[in-house]
Amino acid sequence: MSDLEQANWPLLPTLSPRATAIIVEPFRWIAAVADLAAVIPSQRRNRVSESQTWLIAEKEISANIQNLKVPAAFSLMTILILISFFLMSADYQKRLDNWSTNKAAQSDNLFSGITSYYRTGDNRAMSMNGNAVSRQPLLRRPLPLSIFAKGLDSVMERSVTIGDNPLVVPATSFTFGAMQEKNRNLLLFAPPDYLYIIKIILSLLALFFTYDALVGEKEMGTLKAMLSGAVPRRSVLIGKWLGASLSLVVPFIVATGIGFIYLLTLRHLTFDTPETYRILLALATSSLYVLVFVGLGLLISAITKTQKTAIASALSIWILLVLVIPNMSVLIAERMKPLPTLFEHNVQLFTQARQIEDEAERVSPSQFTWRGYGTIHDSAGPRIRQMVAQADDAFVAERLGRDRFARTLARLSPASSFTYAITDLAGTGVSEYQAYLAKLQQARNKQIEITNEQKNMIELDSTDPDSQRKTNEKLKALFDRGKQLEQELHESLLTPRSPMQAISDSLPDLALLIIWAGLLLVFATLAFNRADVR
Amino acid sequence: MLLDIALKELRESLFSIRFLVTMAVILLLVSAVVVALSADYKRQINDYHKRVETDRKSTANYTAGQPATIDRPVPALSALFVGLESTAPNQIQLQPAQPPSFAQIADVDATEVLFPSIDLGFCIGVVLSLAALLFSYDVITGEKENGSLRQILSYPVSRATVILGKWMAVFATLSIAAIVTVSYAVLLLKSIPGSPFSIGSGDWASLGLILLTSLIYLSGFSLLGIFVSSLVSKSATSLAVLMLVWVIAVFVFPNVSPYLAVSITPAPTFQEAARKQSNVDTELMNELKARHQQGAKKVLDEGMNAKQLAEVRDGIQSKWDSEHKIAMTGLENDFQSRINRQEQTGARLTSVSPYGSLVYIFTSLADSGLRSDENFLRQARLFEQDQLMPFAKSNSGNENSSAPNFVYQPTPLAQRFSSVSVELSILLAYNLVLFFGSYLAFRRYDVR
Repeated sequence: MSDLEQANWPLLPTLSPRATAIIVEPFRWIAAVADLAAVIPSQRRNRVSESQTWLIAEKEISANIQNLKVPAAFSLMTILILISFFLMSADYQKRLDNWSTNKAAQSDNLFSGITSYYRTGDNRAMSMNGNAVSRQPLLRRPLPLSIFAKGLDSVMERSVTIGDNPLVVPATSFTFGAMQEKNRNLLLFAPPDYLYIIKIILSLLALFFTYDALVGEKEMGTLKAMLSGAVPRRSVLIGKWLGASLSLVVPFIVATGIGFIYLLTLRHLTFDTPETYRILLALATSSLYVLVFVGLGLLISAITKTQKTAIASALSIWILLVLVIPNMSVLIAERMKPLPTLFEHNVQLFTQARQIEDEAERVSPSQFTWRGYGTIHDSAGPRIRQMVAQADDAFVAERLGRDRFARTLARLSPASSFTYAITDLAGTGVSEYQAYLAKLQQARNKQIEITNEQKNMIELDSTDPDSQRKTNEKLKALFDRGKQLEQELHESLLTPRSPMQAISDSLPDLALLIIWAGLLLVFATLAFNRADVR
Repeated sequence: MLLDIALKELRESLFSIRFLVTMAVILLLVSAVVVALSADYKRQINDYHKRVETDRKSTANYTAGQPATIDRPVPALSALFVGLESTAPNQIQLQPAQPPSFAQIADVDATEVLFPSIDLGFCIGVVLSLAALLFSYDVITGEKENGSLRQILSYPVSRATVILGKWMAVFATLSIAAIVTVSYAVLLLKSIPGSPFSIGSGDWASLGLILLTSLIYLSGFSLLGIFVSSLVSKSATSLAVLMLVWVIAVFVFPNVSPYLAVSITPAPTFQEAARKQSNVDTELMNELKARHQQGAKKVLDEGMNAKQLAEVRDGIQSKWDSEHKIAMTGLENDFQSRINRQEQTGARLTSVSPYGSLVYIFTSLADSGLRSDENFLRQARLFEQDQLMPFAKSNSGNENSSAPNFVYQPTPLAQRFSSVSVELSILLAYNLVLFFGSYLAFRRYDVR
């Protein structure tokens, strides 16, 4: 082996030439195929420089294998992916069991979810034959793809009740309960899902592979040796880029494959075709993400003068891009766009509801000294319901608007684009959350219709002995309609949006990642063109 | 000789460009973090004051069988060490017939969940630990590579002295960095216009302990760097190994452990527990109806007057209320203890990683961690038992007497400290083990 191949990172004894040849063979094939593919485009440049690029790429790959960077990275990736899949699939199973328990309980009860038509004073439902049951809130079903990106699944999993607003009677709202996950430890640190591993570990690995690609060779003196031959700088850089990318992406795909084999065989998980497409696209996005950081590493390597500076800058920029910018964007958005808290919002609703009541009381004073909360005055009830519905929708819309602003800020970093893309693909992202809220809003509006009708129906005429029975029948019909509404809501909540929608949501972020990868490669090339290699 | 080595090293690193750049980066980061967090903190405080106003009147409702609401103030240090504050339940509802129940008034924003906010704990635990590694990874190997190591050892100085001196220097550098960081953060937070941040006397002590813990933590990481540096012969190798250890200790282990704990110590899911509770609730409700029916029959049979009827009815209701409460509390305690066991296992596992231990210590000392919920619940129960229930009994008809006020007692410092004694000893143990490891490794080190 030449000195060229012993480049940097003399970690442990090298492999025998035979073993190296065997390992490098497949990469040679890939390089040859790619070489062929590169020839096909119309613009044919200097054939010599093309093959030199691939030669350099091959040399990088074999160097990375020999100094055990690739085997070490591959083992690390495989172990982490297997651990992640094991833990997250166990977590998914537990959440699915949680959901099934709730689903079973729903069909048990006469009253569940959104409908109850006769309430006692302390918020319990009484059925027609007077047996008391307590309400069961609704749960959204957890998604299997949340194994790869838990995202907002636990937020969307919160129990939701569509019914009387506990604070502003007689309004109808959807109110979220607490998280289903009672172990608070799980909230202290980010879940170790596939998204997390790629975002944090793989980007760091990419930087490690490339931070000393140029600056290390410069310190060793081999860079000027290489460039003193007729090797264009562009070839060197693109060759190194290709070499590093292949040394990372191929083991990564193999490691993911191993993880999937584990999931399919030992965990007995199956994915249908739309889900498989999403997974493949997620794999492509992750490879793109790796390419971004390979480009970044090369750029740092071309700009800095010593290896020490290179690693320090690489690590600082990594912390900035992956940890600081995405997380700060939320805080900055909050600072720039302060919005009323949920409590303030409820207080405002309460005040406005009382105003509507006072109006009605002034117009037609009731006999009751105890305020009827909109049930005494027939006109007040529907108006209060409408007012609250609109105010709630506005509140949600403002929050989502601020979220969008935070997202735009966060997109300064490729790590956040990556997070958005993957969570959108998995169906646990912000777009899915918005769609979920929209479904809840629709269900609430339908419930308001039913409630308005119901209030109009309860007229007991004491002269008609049959009136009780007739009223009960009407109420039962209404109750059945409510039950049906609940069924529909359940069904619509079961299924996330279609894969095409998820994919189209993630496209802007995918495009951003492509732009990042391209830009960083171009900047690295430009920087290296002007670098002093002596 | 020891002091000479230490001072020389210290001078070198304090005036080096890497220290200045590190300080600049850290201070910039801390500024951004503090400014951003202060807005959130202010919002929480305002929210708390408004809620307390409204809920003050609700304690009178307890007599009428309606829920009384009590609120928990925002701990001062949670402005810097966020922990679980953003999702922490900060209201408890007290009812005669139910156990105290948490209400979560904090509304969860989508992007907050995707990107948890970074705080001073992150700056110290992640960024400063990285700085510690970057300052110490080439302490031995760097000197070997530029030849000065054999020169130092050609003098009559023991290897122990060299190692000790180097550690003292790195530790001093990092201590300066940590002290400057924490003081700067506190000063900045106080001086932001309109900031409601104020530190009570208890909080100063907490802050001091937090600083002490940071120093122990950073010392551990510098010893790690020195240890690896005295094991290998090339700086590049040392850096690679240290990066691997750092990534696993800071980013992999603490995140994996809680999920691992769930597999090791399973607990029933929330819906299972809720199902059980609702079954018991339904039974008890039917029982209540039956008792009321019996009571009504008794009233009719014995021809009681309105006052006696009221007595019978209230007697049945209050007896049932306390039975219901006991039953529900029992079920909830069952479930909660299973969850607590799971959390405990997770905590033990996570604290194996120094960063995990650090997060627990910080959140415990800042009162924004796992223990603060339990503390709040306990105080709520005591308040109900000692103040609300006697008030309700003695004031059933009287609406004019003033209801008792809930005053939250923050967890005493001794308790906060002792609850993380295990984590603290783990950090100290790391220091000891790594120090002896470095000494032993350096004794065998080939300095040529």
